[in-house]
Amino acid sequence: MLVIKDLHANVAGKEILKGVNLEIHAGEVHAIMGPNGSGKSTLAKVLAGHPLVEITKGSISYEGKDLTAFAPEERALQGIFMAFQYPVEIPGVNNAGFLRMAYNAKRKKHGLSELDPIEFDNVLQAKIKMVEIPEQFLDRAVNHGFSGGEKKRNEILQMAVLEPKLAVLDETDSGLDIDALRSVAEGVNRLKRSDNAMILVTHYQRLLDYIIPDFVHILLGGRIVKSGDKSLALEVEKKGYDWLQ
Amino acid sequence: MTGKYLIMNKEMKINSKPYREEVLKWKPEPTAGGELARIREQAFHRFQELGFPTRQHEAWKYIYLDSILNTVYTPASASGIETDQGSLPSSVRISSLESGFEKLPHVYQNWLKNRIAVEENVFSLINEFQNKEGLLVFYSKNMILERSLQFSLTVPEPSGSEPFIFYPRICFVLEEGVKAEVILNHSSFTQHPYFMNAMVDIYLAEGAELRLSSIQHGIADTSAFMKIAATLQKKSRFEMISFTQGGLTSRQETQVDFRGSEASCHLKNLSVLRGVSRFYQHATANHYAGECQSNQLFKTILAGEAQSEVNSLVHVVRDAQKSESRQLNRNLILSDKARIYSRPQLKIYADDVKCSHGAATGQLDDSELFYLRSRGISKEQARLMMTLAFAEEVIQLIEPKTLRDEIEKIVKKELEGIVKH
Repeated sequence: MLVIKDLHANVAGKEILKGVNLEIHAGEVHAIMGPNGSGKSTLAKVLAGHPLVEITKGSISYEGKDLTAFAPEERALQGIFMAFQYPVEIPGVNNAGFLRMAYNAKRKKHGLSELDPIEFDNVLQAKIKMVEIPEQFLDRAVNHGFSGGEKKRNEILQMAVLEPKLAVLDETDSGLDIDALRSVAEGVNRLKRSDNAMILVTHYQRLLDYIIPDFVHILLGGRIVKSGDKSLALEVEKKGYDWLQ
Repeated sequence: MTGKYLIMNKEMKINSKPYREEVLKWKPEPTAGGELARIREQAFHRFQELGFPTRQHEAWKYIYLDSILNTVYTPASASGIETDQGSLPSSVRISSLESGFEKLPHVYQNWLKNRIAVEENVFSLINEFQNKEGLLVFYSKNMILERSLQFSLTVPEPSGSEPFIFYPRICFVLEEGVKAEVILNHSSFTQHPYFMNAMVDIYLAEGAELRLSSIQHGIADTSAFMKIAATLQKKSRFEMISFTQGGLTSRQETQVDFRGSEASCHLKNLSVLRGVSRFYQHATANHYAGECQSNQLFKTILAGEAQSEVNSLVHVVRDAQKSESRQLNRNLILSDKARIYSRPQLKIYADDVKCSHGAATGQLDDSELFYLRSRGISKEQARLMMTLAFAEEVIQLIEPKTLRDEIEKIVKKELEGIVKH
């Protein structure tokens, strides 16, 4: 599904990714761990097409196509979704309206008719049950005045609505207390299928107690220095990152 | 017919001079008498004293007046106000200012006389002596009128292509305890160039409440000036929401004079400007009495080569203690060539006041834009959503709902046109 080869990328003129190689297939869950500043978030952003990340070398192939040629909205329509580490507040834009707009953009892409607010509400009701989100979320402006935990849940709601093929969760666990973490993780687990894949970018092993990865990669200094199964995450938890350098 | 018509037109042109000279030729009607005639003369003399403003005047610093002052205008035949109110209760009277003014109790006559004696806006003074069939709208004590009265500021298009001029003039007097809603609508959709110089006076007696919605849209090759002067007595409340779109040179001046304590005013404006539109917005709240509240929220969306000025002043005199005011101006600039002059000002001579002001001008936020796009929403659609969200804060305050929906539709259509570029 996704093949990243020798990827180098700059943020504000500084090289952050220094040759990343990664291959992901449908049905897999990959965890990317690493200390602060190792390039985890940059890797997530580069997949979503963030305008401040500049690719200088290497390639990203998604379903056989050159992903870097696509604008952010086109990537989303092709099935890529990034859950933001810091979801953006958009005052004045209604959450339900925004979700419908995104949902309809995808339907349009697939040649389906757009849903009106009433039809879409049926879709939405099922999704909010699935990810256990209070209905009041829908009437508020997108992330505006949401607590940290509410913002993260709202990301998962968007993911549930858009049903991506490849979801990149950028530190979705950060800032969550243990109950919120469990509930977010359960939401994510319900969205796991054999035909989609997930990349979990995380700082701590604790998220991986709830969402079990098939592969764990350690990103250090802009490169993946070690890959393994879930036991690697436990090892890192115990020993830190220093031994990998 | 055609030949005759042309000759007539030619004669008119010979007799007319550019605006700056033409207005000086004013003479009082020989038959005119009474208080209103005296007010007109007073206004004419004050206009002669003050003369036309230049760019040295703070309130006229950015506006290009020559395009108006050098134009030869043909006076329109009608007053410029249309109103179709159906039947009104007897406690609401609409009459011509000419006939109604003489019957007004002295307290209201004096109010108007005193206000005009110190009027600084030269164009308002010109309106005062030039207007022909002004309206007086009088609400008797404790009248509560649920429905809005609508006044359209427009005149039938004259034949020929000369620019024309008209002077709408309305005076609202709300006695004690009145609650009323008024819509002023200036939407002409004509390609014919004209200059509208409108003057609106409002008097709110103790406890009176007025909600005024002022709409200007669909105007193209037009200069439109409007001054709204409101005098607020004790515990009265004045709320004004205005929406402005289009016009070559538009100027809106709102002056609120607090003359009694515990009164409040709430001024809100949304402007959506594109092309070469120029909109100059001036608001002054004079706290002459203490314990009053004034709030201002002005939002502007600019595209193309549009320019705008938001100049708002809160003035608190020495004894007006416990005055409160909030001024907020937010501007969204969607093109490199658009320009805004934002000038919130405070003049405070009392020591126990709460006054705040803020201004923010910027472009659409890149991180918000990326967030929306990352969900599959096109760049254009995302820009539209964000721009509309900026406007909604004011739109949502518009009443009644029919008007709100109408404005929302206009804004949406206008913004769709803007974000495509």
